Amino acid sequence: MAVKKPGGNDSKARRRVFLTLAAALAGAAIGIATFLRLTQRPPVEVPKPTSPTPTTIIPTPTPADISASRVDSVPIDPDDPKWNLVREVEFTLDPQAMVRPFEPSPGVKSVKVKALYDAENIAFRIEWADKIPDFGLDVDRFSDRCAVMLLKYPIPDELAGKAWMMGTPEYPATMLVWEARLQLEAEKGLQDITDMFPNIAIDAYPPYKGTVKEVEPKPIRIGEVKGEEVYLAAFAAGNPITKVRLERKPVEKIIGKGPGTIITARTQDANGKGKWSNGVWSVVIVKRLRASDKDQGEIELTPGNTYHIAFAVWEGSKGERGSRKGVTSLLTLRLE
Amino acid sequence: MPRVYNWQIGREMDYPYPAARPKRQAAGIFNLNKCIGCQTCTVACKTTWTSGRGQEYMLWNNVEDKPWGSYPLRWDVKILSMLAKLEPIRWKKEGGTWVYRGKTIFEAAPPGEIALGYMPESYDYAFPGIGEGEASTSLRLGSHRAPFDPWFFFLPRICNHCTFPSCLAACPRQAIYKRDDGVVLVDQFRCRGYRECVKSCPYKKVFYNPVTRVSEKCIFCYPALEKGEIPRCFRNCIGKIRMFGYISLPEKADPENPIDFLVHIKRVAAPLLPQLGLEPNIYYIPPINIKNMDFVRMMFGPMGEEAINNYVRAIEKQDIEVIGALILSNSTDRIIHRFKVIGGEYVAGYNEKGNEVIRIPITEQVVVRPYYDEKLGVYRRNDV
Ligand code: SF4
Ligand code: SF4
Repeated sequence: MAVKKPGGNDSKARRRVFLTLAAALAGAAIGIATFLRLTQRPPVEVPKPTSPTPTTIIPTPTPADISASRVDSVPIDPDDPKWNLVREVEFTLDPQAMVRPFEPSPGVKSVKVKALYDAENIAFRIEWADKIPDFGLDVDRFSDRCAVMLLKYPIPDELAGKAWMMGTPEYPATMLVWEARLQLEAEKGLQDITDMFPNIAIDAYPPYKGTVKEVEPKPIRIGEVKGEEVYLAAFAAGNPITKVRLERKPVEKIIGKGPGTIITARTQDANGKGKWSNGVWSVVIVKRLRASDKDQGEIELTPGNTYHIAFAVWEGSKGERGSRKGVTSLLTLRLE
Repeated sequence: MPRVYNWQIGREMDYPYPAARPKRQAAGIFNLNKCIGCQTCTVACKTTWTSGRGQEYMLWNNVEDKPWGSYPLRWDVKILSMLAKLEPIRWKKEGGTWVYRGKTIFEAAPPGEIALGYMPESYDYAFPGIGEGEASTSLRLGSHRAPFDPWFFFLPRICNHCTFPSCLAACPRQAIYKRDDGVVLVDQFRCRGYRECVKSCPYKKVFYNPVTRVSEKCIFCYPALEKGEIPRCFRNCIGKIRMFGYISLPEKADPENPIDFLVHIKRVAAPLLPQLGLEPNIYYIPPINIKNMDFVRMMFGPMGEEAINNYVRAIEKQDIEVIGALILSNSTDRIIHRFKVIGGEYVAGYNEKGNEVIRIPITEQVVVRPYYDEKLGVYRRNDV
């Protein structure tokens, strides 16, 4: 199966015009050019949000950047053969540079994306190159992550730049964030201090009586002893991320209305699966078409419609987290 | 970027948010001349707040030997050299006030960052006691040579509950907030563990819990403060070096408030690394035995050197008010809002309502017990 990058043959003429314009802008003022790049984000290899789809193997009548085809049931495994039937599109990732702090040169340069949907769910398969998988299991380590952001379509031009930054109050963004650490915890349970430091020696944790060593071979795990939450502040406070972890979900469903506003949606019904092999992360993120948290601003998807979509990747070994990330421009998705 | 006035550096500076001083600012004074390095404060904090999973390496209160020790490793040297590489650290006295003419960490922020900072490595937290006793034993025995004379002092450190916290400024989620009483907290519900606060606090007093995957920090024992009691590390201090209270702005200094009196009026205490621009609220009476004044100026600014002189002078002159205020340091569990020297013999502390909560003699009373107690007909000996 061939991989086609947007900005192929039939958009060459437009690209030339655009490059001339970009060169003129860059010559005029780097600051202004950077600002425009950030708000409108038309990088060389990625078409403008509204530009038509480039050459594809199966020609599609729609102008969306990504088209999701209908199947009987969507696969959750990134290695499922169903994915081989789907056209893959590659998008460049640029630094998020609207909100400080940011990483001027993100570690991951592009993502390859596929999409499928069935009567109930939509699934995205996201793939990127990453030499070392990171799970963020120490104070100085950060987990690899990727996210899909969905927004209503169309968003008026003057709001598009803002909405691209995790939504606005009028155009809330639904984000589905997959995280390597959550994947590990979904498979192996909450990662405890004994998983991070197998040789740790601790006299005792309240409210336990024995030492960590004494309870071997099976170390006591979080949640096994009543009353421990008091000593795990974020759990005691009911931090939503702790709930996602306790439910063993590798994907968190988030609603955003602008930078710094994101909340974990009430119903955590998104799912997914990520696998790393030979320097490549392949991740599937599955979301229900129906919005279960509409009142919180979750997007509802219906077949035949178009939506705005964007992707983000965080490279853990480069210390990327939160606002330090690589992002695509605001693209379009169509459910065929 | 908004401009805010930082009285510790005598000028306005850049800060990501407009100035919003709390109703009152919780503060502390640590008299380094009296700290014996017993770590009782460290243990008091550890057993109260950080005995859970993921907190093993955390010391919200730590005591390090200076100049040899540091926790996390080289925290002070690292940030100071990062800052000094950009611009020399310069102070100038202008009209009786020290004005810092170098850059603060906010002003020195690289592009894309909110403050100059670095992410400590896991390893950096592994040696909380490094340098302990170095100056006293090995050096004297000639084990190695050092660039300093073999002097040292203990430096107890907690979060400074800064007026312009960089932890708060750097959080892209606004999960850190400053309360009405000046206490700076990480919201355990909102935090998502990005650790921007860990990176940008130059004092390295925010810690990441890898088990809960959320950042945590000193809470100044706010449940105690709300009851009118001083924090645990103050309360348990063996050396009675710690005074808790609320500090005013210098122009509003109240001579009856012991913190205002010692910091603003008598100027015997100075903040830690004021040049970084955070307006930290733990004030130190620097140790008078430091031979190297450059070191004092580096750690406490030029006010640090003045504080030593003022302190020595006050003790030599037997300034009864300074001595009175100082001996109130954790003499009671209650927070002292006002103090008064009574009849030159006693000093009394008052709570917020103005009720007396403590009265102690200024001169320690000496009771001589005879070797032979005639009344009881016994010998008193302490040599067996
Ligand atoms: S010392 Fe550090 S953690 Fe404490 S308030 Fe200041 S910047 Fe924040
Ligand atoms: S308890 Fe007091 S004397 Fe002991 S180390 Fe702590 S601050 Fe110093």
